[in-house]
Amino acid sequence: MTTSVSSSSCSSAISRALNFKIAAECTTSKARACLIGLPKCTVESPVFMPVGTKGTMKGLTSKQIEDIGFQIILGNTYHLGTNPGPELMEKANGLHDFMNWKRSILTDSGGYQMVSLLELSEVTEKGVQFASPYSDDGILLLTPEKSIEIQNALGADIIMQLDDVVSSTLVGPRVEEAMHRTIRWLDRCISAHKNSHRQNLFCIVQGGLDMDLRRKCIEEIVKRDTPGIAIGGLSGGEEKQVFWKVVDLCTSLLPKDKPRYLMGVGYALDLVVCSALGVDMYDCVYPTRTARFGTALVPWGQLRLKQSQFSADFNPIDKNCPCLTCKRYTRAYLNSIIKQETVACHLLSIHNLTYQIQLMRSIRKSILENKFPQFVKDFMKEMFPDANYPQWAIDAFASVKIEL
Amino acid sequence: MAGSCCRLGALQFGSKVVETPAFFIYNRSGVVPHITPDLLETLNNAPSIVMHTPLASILEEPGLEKLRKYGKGLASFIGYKDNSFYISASDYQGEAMYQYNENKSVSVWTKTGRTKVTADDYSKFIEACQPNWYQCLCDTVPANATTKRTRKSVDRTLEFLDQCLNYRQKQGNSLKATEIWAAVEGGGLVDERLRSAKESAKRPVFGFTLEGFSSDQMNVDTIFELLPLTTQNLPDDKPRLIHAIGSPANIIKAIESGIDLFDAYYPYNLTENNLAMVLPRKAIRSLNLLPKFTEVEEDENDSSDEAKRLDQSTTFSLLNLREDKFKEDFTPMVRGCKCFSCTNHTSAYIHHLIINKEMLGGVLLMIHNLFQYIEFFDCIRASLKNNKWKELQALFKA
Repeated sequence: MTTSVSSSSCSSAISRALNFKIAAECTTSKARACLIGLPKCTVESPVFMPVGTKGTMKGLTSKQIEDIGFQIILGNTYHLGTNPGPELMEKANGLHDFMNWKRSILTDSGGYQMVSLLELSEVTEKGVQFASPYSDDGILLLTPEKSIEIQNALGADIIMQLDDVVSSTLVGPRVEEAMHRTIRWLDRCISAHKNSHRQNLFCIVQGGLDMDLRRKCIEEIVKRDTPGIAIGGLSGGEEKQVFWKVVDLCTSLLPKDKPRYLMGVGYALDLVVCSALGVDMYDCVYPTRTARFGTALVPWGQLRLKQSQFSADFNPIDKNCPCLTCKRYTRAYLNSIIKQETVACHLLSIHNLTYQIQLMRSIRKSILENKFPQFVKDFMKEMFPDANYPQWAIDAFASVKIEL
Repeated sequence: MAGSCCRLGALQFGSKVVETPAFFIYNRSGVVPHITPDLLETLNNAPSIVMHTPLASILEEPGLEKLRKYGKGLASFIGYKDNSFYISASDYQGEAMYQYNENKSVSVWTKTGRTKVTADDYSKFIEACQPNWYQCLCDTVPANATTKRTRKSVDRTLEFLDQCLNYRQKQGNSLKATEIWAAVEGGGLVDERLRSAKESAKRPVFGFTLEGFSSDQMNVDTIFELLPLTTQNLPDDKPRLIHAIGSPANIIKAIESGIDLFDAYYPYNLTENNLAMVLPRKAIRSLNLLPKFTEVEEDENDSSDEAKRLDQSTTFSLLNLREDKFKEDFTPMVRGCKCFSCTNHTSAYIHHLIINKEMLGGVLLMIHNLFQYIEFFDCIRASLKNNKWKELQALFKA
């Protein structure tokens, strides 16, 4: 199926809404440290974007997020599109002003949430149709045009196309159908986009775990010349050995002079591996979600603070962590308040987000100093002190000439 | 100190001074509900904040053993080692189950159930905590308890006080850095109130807490009949603290009845009900009470939200942020309020957070309510200093 390339309004606008510079490249692996100049803020990559679903980072203020050091956060179009809705957002002057976040924002298309949260009715060429208790006829239809309309009202620096999302473990003709439809929907998104001079529309590469489909998708999608490219359809329970190979293929084929965004990836090991493979941007709910369940992230793994072993442990979560939680509180204290006080969630979220940003900064710094392979080795030793490295990680690093 | 009522005073501990009337910030297990320490620091009087921790929230967790093992005192354990704090034996958060108290012990209700605490148990626990101040163990009854039971509560509480004082004596230095407050009981009986006050006054205590005056335990008219009668029998030169009286109108009446210190359950209660406190800024400005209140506000002539502005100007009021009228209100909750929430966020955003059950809604409301409460007490002290008490009172009628 051939599709026409949309008008070139995208490329002339690129230089205005997104300014991409590679600051350093690792001479061993495919890792790179970049500067992504966006309307509100320049973002240093590799970058992890915390998820602020409904215009809030689960109990933390914009200022607290800013103080931890994040330059870009993610907002969910589905949630904000229903509550408070695009009309109100326009009156509020967009999401930045609404939540008082002065740096950059990326909004997703709403597609993924709808798949994961609502009962799936039907995917047609028109869009994604869902059963909804909130609409008069019981149906909620998210079209590429509607998604872009909402995202235009939200006003984020980066917006995502609506893609036809299928589970990464799915096989068969549906995967190919979704890949082709994603490209057609991209064209519709590009046509519907009203603000290309101040909002960057990223496309999303689909194709499941099929290398050929991925290849075909990339071939077509790069013709649309969007300011940035996302790799979608992964981090959904697929086998890790296949996961990294798909990421690796994509980063090898995608243009070097544009940011690559791997959606839904957030575990520390995945971040390090995929950075070695040439990914620039990530998002994940994991650090903040796991904080709410009482788990603290540390360089050597995780601490499940609800466990009784911590009840009289008077050490901070991580004595090397500069966050306010580690400076003031002990594991014992957090263990004592975890099930009862929402403040415990806030304190753990602050710690986990600090952990994530420290990790990304270390990755970036090592690339800038051309010491990334050594960083990887040190990281792995600390995370797996018994040297029981997961095979997939060994293979992935080896593919970019990093030997553990 | 001015005498037995409407008193201006100051509490000194170490290098810090708290001017009274004032309030202690309520915390549960060391947590100010919704607020992380960095947000607490945005409050004006942050360094001299006194934390109030009720015994019930720390008795089990962390508990005596853990605190002893930790060895650095409760303030440090809860992450507020630079703040002063006060431990109350009583707690107004749950139902007061005084029927379970006995001659030798009081029942304290924790998450897992009931623990009997004797005066000695309590004193040992306080030793491990090392607060600046603590209330003595007390047996509190509501106003409708029988005469016999009320008398017993006065006797028992005096006995607990003597046991606590005895412990302090015997232990030498271990409790030297702490101060003990007596608990004045007596339910709804004038005679018993006077007896409890006079007897407590004979003991070497730092201050007096007035127990049994919450609206659950006593009706409001009785409260303000008994309170002044009681405080008149307490020494002028020692502070008086009351729990569970928190609305501005009642605070004013309580100050007239000779009270110096309060706790902060009221701002927390408002927050849990999605309410924001609104001090009448324009009216306060016109009394010329505080320099910061004489600032000229921008957009005084802006005619939008006219009704909201008028409400805010002349009388104390509450805003319910759940209400639809805030959905598209892109102005701060209270114009002119310098709290973190009002300087950084809009009513519309806070409304959105509340409707969507987001934790940040509670956070922003709590900061605002504590901030306004602090300003309220600033006004109280300023009006006492400048002889504008009656004028201030008129702004906060119930």
